Amino acid sequence: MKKKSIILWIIKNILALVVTGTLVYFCINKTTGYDWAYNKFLKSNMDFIQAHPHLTEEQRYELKLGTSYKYLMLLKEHTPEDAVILYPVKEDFFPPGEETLFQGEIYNLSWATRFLYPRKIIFPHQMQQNIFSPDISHIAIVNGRGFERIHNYAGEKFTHGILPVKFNRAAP
Amino acid sequence: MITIGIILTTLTGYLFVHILSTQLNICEKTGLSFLSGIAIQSFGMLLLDMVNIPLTLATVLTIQSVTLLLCAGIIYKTGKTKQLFIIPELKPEGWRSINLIWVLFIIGIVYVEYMNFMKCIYFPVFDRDSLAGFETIGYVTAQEHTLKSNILYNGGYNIGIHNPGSYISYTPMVMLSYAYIYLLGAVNSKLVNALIYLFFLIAFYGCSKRFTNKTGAAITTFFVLLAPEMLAFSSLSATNVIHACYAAPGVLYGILWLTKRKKEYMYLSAFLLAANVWSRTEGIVFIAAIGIISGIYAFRRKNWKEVIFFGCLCILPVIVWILFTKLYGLHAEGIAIIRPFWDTEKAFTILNYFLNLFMNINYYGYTFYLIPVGIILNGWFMLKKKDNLVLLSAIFLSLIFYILILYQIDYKWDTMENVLSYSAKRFLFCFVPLVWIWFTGNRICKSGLEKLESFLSLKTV
Repeated sequence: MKKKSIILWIIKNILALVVTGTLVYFCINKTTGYDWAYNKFLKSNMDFIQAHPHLTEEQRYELKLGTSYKYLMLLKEHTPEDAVILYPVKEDFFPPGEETLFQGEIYNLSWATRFLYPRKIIFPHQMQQNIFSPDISHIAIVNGRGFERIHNYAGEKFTHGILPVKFNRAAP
Repeated sequence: MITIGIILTTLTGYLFVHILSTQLNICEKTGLSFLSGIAIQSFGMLLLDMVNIPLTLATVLTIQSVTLLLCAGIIYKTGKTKQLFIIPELKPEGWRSINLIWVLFIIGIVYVEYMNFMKCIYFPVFDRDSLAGFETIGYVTAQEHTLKSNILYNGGYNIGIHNPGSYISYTPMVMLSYAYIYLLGAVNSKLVNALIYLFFLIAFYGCSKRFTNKTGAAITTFFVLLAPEMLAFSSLSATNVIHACYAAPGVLYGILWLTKRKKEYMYLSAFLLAANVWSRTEGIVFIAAIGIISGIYAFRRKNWKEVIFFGCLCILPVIVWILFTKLYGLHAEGIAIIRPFWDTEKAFTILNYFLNLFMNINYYGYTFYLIPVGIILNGWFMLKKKDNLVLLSAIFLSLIFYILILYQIDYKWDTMENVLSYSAKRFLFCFVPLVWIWFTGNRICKSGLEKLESFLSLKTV
């Protein structure tokens, strides 16, 4: 049995640490994927978290979902829980050839439901099939679109909002 | 209430894992505790929903407590109480085997995972697949106290719910886990993702030590953690990383079962592979791969009973899920082409995409480059001693099955190119831990790491 010297152990380990540390450093910083993962993804997110530790849940949602979240909150605030909303379609949120502030799949039923629940949403093209169509209580307006879905609307027009209506099913 | 729920889940999982195997090290037991606990919890919730018991806080905590007591009872009855809480002995000799490379990688793992965990729980759910599916279903399930009859599964309201590729046909583990955390009072479900990945890393480190030494395990865990795309997705709510957290250890324990001939590994593997398919249906590829390899072993050993039992355990949740979907009409239009066919263009497109994915350092780092390097370095031992060949076969078989699945899909809901570009890259997460363990567990790497450890150790020789 041979006992190893502690000094030798320390020297060997420090040398191994320096070599491995350098290799790992270069592996992370010189490889695009690892560089992105560590420096851009983790560190930049961590810097942000440390700079803003007390943001509310709403503010964090706003950060990630931007106008889409604000819009859904607007609908939520101005409708009762049992509201049935005639909801805009994809082209209303993202008009072809026009710039839009929205992001994500806000036009997706499940996506929007996560924020609007227990309110129900109905798309204009699915009105014939949707069992809640007779109960539509509100019409959502986005990018100034949606007024045409209200029979004889004569009120003031606006860009984003929601209108409580007694919906006429015969209307286009 | 969240803390109580998480502790109950972890404790249930811990006891359950202890029933399956008393030989696991502390990292494996701890790591697998939450992974098992949440899988069991979601299974229990489905059973409740199946018999029309509403999923409320009271009922889910009751089923959790009953499971916990049942596990404790089994442990007491079988006399496994002594080995229940194994705390590693901190003998002076233990410290002497520590080397600074291991310390460096352990600190690296802790630091990277700390940042990842914080990022995960700080930001709410915002990824498309979760908001348009699992997360919202979990949320609505918690509000309506039912999965099967929640409003999003109502075809009269959610018109496209029975369309091809709809999430109605997805196995429910992730959705029910999210529902569970919402029932406990969480404001968002990200804690589930954060905890699953954290516990996976602990389990993975413990399991890696069975294939390589502790320095190798630390290096492996560090690079698995740092695989760019997998790291990014581990802090989102998508199901792919969760799936990988069950599939990879499931395959590894399956390999240990076959090579070490220990029955307890079979139970662990069967449970984890069952959870793998419980989290994502395509997890069946790993069951098929281990099934085929175990079939070959069974043929040689003339022992079919164990393999059949293993197969039955693995597919048990799928059977329950199919029964559930049939009972309550949760069906989507099929997307699989069942008949065999040959389409050269489709086959080459898929293969081409996969080759590009393997070579993409931005997604998986050096992971898939390790396969050719490992084959070249360890080729001789692979040929002569069949070194680590079983794990490599499992990796290749699962990959082939994955490619076959993608080939047999009828892309009605999206283009094949889209699926390959955006979804297929996530399918490969399960392979990242497997490839790293295969590489560091190879004879050449292993002996190199052992020499390194011995060189850097203070232990007497």
